[in-house]
Amino acid sequence: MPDTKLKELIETTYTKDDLHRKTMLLQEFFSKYFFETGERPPLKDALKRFLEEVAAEPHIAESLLALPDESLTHITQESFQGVLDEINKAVAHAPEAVLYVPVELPAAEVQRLCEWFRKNVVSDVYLDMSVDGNVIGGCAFVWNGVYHDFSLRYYLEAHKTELRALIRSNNEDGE
Amino acid sequence: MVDVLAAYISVGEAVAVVFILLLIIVVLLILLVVNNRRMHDLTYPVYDYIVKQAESKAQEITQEAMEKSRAMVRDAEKEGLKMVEQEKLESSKIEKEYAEKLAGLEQETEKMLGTYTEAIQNDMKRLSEGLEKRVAESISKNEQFLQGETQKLSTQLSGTFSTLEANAKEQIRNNVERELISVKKLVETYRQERFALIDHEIMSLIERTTSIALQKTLSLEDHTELIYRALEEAKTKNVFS
Repeated sequence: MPDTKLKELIETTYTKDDLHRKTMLLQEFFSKYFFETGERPPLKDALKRFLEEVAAEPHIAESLLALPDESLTHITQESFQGVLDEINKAVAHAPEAVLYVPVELPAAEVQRLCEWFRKNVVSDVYLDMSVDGNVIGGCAFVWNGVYHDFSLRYYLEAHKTELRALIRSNNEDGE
Repeated sequence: MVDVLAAYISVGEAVAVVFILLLIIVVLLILLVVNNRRMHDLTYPVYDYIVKQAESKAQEITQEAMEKSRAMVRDAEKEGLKMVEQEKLESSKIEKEYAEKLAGLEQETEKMLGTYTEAIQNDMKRLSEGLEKRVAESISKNEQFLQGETQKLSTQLSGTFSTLEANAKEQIRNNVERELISVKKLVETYRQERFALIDHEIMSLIERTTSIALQKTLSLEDHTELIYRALEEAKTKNVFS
């Protein structure tokens, strides 16, 4: 995990799409906030108003507003661009797992899944979520360029012999 | 005939030699007379008379010699003709004897030819009879030989056919067994393939049925729980390492 002034932003973002979206919003926000004339309101208030104005996705807005105040106050007119560039650069080289799930999961579940990955696989991993009805009973994912299916298909294949024996025994009983 | 001609030529030659000798003598005498006359004219005219007498004498001698030579020629001719006639007579005699002998020879030849022909005919007849007999014997032997060979060949063929039949039966049995094994293998392979296909179909059916059932029955929490179970299984299988 890179040591930046917006480290929390990276830690609380679980997909690269979300992180790009957040950095784009922050870029726009900081540009307006630092370069517009007039009296500057408190940064968090200004951010909240900005997110409302651009109708940001709720989980994105919630995540940005949840950033610690001290992290945001360290951002200056001179440093914000460098910080955002550093984040984008770090994310570009971060590992990513493509996860196929049978149903659309809420953001909280995506967050839990990513935390599972960061805890069990690698700490700076991001998820790329996709919905695929064929992976029911589990999930499938692409890791290091290899597709792995751990859905119902996997379990049926793993217990194929027992299933066949069961079916045959049922047939013999029926006959 | 040749001997007669040879004799005739020798008589003619003798006559000619005599005639030539006489001519030479006459010429010599004439030369002598001419020479004496010249001598007489030169020295002794008296001798004219003697010369004339000598001339007349010479003429007489010449005439006589000529007469004699003519007589000798005539005698020689006669003798020649006589010899020729005699030769003719001998020749005709020889011809007659020759003709007689030839006739006898012809008769003997005909007789001999008849004899030889008869002998040849007899020999040919005997030879023919002998040949027929030998041919008949040979044919009989050949027939016997052929019968024997045919019998042997038949026996051999019978043995060969028996062996071939046995071999063919063995080969057919082997082929049938091989085909049977091959068919059994094919049937077994087909059976296994069919089982595999059926199994696959059953598994697909189960999967589809289960999927439908799970989609209808699983809640979000259930899905989430199954996702975590799947990730834990993947972790156990060292998929992430």
